[in-house]
Amino acid sequence: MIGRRRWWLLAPFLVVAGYALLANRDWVGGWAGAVDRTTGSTVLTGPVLASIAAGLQLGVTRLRPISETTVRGHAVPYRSAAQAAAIGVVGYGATLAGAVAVTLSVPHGGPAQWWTGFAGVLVLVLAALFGALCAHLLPSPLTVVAAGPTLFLIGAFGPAPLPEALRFGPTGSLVGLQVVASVYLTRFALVVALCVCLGVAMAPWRVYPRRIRLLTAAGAAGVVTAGAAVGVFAAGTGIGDTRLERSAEGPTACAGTAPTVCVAPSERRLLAGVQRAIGRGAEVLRSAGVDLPARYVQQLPYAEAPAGSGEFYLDDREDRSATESVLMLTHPASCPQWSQDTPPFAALDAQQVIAEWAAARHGERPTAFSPEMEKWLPHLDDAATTSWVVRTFDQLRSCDLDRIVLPWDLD
Amino acid sequence: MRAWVVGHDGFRVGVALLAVGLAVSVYAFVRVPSPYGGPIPMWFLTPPALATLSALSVRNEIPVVGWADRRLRRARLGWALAVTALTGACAALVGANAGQDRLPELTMTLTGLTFGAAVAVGRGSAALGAACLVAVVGSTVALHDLTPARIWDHLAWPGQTAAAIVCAVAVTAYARFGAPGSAGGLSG
Repeated sequence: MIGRRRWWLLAPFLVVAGYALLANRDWVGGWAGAVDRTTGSTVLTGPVLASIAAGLQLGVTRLRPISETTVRGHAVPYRSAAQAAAIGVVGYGATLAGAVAVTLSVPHGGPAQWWTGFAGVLVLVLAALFGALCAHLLPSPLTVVAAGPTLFLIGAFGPAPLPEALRFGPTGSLVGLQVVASVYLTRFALVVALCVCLGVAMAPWRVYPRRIRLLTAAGAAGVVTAGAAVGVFAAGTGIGDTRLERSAEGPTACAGTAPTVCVAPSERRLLAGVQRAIGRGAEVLRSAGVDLPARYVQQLPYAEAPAGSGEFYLDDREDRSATESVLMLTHPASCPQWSQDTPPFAALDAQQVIAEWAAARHGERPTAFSPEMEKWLPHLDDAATTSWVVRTFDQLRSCDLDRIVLPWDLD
Repeated sequence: MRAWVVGHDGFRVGVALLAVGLAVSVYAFVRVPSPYGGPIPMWFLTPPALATLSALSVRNEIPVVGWADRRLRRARLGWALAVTALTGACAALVGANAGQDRLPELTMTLTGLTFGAAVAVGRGSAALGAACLVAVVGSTVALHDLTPARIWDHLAWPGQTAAAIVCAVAVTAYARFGAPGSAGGLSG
């Protein structure tokens, strides 16, 4: 379908796709992230493909006087769209292969909904049709340049539910999460309806006899109505929101003892660094007599840590200071108060004081977060502070957060 | 003169440049939602957008026959400078509305480089501006605190001089060699 001379058009697509994949590497290591990042790359590669399709269509415009006289001359813009779509699908496949290769190159794991990758194919077909249609209606080099940015801006500012049809990602961290299948399938239907509408708009309206024109117009109206119905349904069911639900993924990738550190398999590449940080923090706390849980697990959305386990928030940093290491240990239990409308401010401050106290014992300079703490800092090394730390940690562990009193508020 | 502008699709490109300049100056602070790290202010996209559009005017459909070499080079130089100045003016409009200094300088540098790249790839030099557009959209977080003035200050005088020299060489190269067209014997 595509001549050898046109395969070079794959190059800009792949450059942009590669950039979209690697501009940010926080998805690396998890299969869900790899699929989501690949699908999300179409936010950038889609507009590029629209311009490629417009360029292909513009290239054949000069043959219009000849092609319009042939039986299948009306198929020329469809052919341009199909060629661009083929380039897009091949490029998308290469992007997915790249994402898989990057994922395999590091410790990896986690579940993935591979079928959601089909969203990218649909978006690229839509982009190809859009570009070819633009150049079919406005055959000018300006159209080639403008088609891509226009599609991008429609994705950004278009009326609902158009952005939902053009932007399937990147969603962000999908650790412990998965998309709701019904929402995605509705969005798929919307994209297909839009593709049909674009295809109908490319039909050669003027050259057909009146009866065929009327039939086509009726068909187009039906399709547009169907598309609008899908759109209204989609908007009504709230597909504008990213609908995510808890997946089966739990913190099952574990390492170390006393405490054992567990993360989601998607974050396995971070396990060694986290274990190091937590081990360092645990050493300081234990030396002061703090009783730590035997196991710390990564906090996951919509999930609670198992009873008796501590939990920690995981970011993708490699190095952590002593303060940050200890701070990871200051959630020794999953308490309901943490998710209340009014957060337990005293407990939050106490966590920070414990972390600064540990940092000082580790030889780092503590930082005061309030004038009261600034005044109190000279007492940081007192024996009374150590016993406050042990007592407060026990209160954090038993979820007795309301009884926590900061050291400078003690009588 | 008129034939030269028409031959370069100059009226259409000029209108497009002005339209982008005017539209973005009105919506300078509108933020374009990007899934790659948050919204991007519209003015940020102006230099690459103008440079991309200007790449459409690097090639012409005027036969080379009948042109003396020196006159042809002067015409190309004048054309490149005129388009560069127009993009600078549009960027100045946007910069004034967005309160961003040095936006015209950066836009003109990018446009000059686009004309220079056209010596090798013709209208394909639009890829330069397009690549910058993609980079801006894809690196919103990294570029969060970046402004044209900061880029300009970061270059310091050696960098600014080097940018000016590279830009001058690019425009001179365009004036000397023109851009390769799809057909031979054209003066672009």
